[in-house]
Amino acid sequence: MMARVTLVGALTVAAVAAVYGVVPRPLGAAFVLAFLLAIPGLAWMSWLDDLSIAETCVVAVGFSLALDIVVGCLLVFGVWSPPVGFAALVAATAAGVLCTRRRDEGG
Amino acid sequence: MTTLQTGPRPAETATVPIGQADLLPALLPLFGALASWAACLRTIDPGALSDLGLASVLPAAAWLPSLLLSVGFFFVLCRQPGRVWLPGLYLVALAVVLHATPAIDYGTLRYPWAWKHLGIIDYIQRHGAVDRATPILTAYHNWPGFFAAAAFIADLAGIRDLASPVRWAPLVLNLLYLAALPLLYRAFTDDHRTILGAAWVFLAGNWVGQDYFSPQGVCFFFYLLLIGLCLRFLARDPAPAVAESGRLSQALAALAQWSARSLPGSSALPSGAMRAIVTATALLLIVAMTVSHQLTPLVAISALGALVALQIMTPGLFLFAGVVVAFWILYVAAPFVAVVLPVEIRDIGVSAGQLSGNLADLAVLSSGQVLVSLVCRLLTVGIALAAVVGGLRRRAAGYRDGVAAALTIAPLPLIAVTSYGGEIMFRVYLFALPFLAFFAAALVFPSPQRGNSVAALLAAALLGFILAVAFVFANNGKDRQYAFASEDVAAVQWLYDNAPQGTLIVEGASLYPSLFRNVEHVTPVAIADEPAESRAELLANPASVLARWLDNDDYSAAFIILTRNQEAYVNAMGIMPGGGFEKIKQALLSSPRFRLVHASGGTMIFALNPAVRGMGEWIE
Repeated sequence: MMARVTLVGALTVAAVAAVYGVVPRPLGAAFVLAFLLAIPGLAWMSWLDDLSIAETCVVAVGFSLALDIVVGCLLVFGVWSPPVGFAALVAATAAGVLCTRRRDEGG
Repeated sequence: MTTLQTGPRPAETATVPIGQADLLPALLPLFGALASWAACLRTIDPGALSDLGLASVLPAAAWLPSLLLSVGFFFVLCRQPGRVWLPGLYLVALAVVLHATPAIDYGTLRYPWAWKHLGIIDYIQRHGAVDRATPILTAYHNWPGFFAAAAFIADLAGIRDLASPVRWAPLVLNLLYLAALPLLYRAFTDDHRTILGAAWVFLAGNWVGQDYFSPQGVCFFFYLLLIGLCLRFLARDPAPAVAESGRLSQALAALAQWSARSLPGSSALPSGAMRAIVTATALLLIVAMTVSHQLTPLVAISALGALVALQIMTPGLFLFAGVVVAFWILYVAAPFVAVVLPVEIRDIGVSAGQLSGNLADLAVLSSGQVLVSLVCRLLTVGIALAAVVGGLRRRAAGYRDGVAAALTIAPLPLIAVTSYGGEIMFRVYLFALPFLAFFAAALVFPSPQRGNSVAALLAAALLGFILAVAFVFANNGKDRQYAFASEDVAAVQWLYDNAPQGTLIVEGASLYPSLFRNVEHVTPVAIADEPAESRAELLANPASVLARWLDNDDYSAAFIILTRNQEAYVNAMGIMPGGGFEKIKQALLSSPRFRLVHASGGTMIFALNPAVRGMGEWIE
């Protein structure tokens, strides 16, 4: 649990730093890609205790990619702003971590 | 956890301790395969591709990695059951050998459609919107989810040139499929030999080339995840047949009980919160598929409908998918659908009658392409036949795989309701492939008690090798058309750098890296796509006809682009018989009405000679 939260937290912070130019490329691009392609899903996936590590990772990637698509597709309705979309994904990640922590602490 | 497995369970082989001394012999074929593959990479010359595609430039030693991987994979699968990760490594290596070879050797993005996808991403990045009524690449603007996400990710990561990294998409996507498949298969069996054997069959059988940088490539991954999550976490017990009222309900309940007899008592997840997050993930996947691709959500609806009919699931997700897809088609994509729907309705059922007619006509293909086409068909039919026999062997062993069988045939309705022509057969095959692969693996491993003999191991290794070889012919058999040399890419980039808004681009065929930038600035016209009479008129007098096409005040500039990939395509497909493409090229080179404005690699770009522009028809 702690390892997952640490990984999610560290990569989220690194991605935020990269988006705002604190981390130089190509390292910054790697952080942003890792965050966008896996982290929101990983934040929520501790719910699925029956999954192996590989299955957890693949579901997390699917969840994150689908979330990227839904956020990006808001452009159809006139909303296109990568920074705002990124903020929404960070919020979704934080919500996932908080919810799973609360559940795990509650036993 | 839910499993739909019926019949005998595997022995507890996974707990057998394995000594470290056994590890080295198990890894030797893997290391040998990767070393020989790396050594072969340097000897491949993509410039010498023939009509057989990649296979024509592979040295004999290049088949050794597939042989070593197949032997090693089935050896560790059958003889070292305690290390499930070991055959997993072999599967990853197979994906690398099959999909990294073109990415490394060609060095550029394969498939002309992938370049057009870059054009939509470029459009979104420049405009922050899509144009759903545009006449060029209209469907992409109406199902923009994948492109919007790619633009979103590229913007945030600061990636300016997507063409280079996305050439690895086939490898990445196949690794994702590989990771998602066990999620699916564990609902059917606990026998890891069947699960991993099916993954090998899937990798080698996935020759149809939809796994590139494309909406369908990503949506297929979503489809596998959706069905896997539904079967593993959202399945429920079939209702007893006697409790149903009405003959149809009773029949469905009886079918459900037959297909999934011995289903474990409770499929409910341990907590309501877990079920909620799985359901939310499934909903998210459905929405992402719906906004990205036309076809995949239709297959998902059909598959979910099959699971509902078999009473594996409640109808909630099925209804949600139907509503979301209907909303997107009838509201968001209305400008596109208004044009296309009448044609689709007119053609309902027609596709089914035209399937064989729309397959490649072997009589007009080049000899190399005839062989490629035959390998494609043999590979497809071979896997389907193996699946039938494997299914019968499972049935004889006491299993009822009704759910897997239903998911195999779930994509079939696409044949009747779409107008993709013969192309739809390959899409149906792709969506059926995960389940065909499961049954095909059961040909060797029908039950935990069978398939452990040396003869079975050798037969499996031989079949695995044959599949991997056939894949190279089938998947890479058209690479002379689909793989682009860097000089040719540079020539097209020069064209787009020099094409102002309102440019007409006459192309030999659309199979070249086009429309990857400023897509709204150009109007492409492919000679190969013209009606037969128009092509015949052009071939009779190329310079005169093309001069007339280009001398058009509706356009601010006009170019003709002829590439070696276009030539390979029209020659292989018999579109311009008798050296028609070469005749056009020579006519343009020798005509004073045209200037060769740029040439690089196998690409020539012509424009009208400004001295003669606007002078009207020439007298020969």
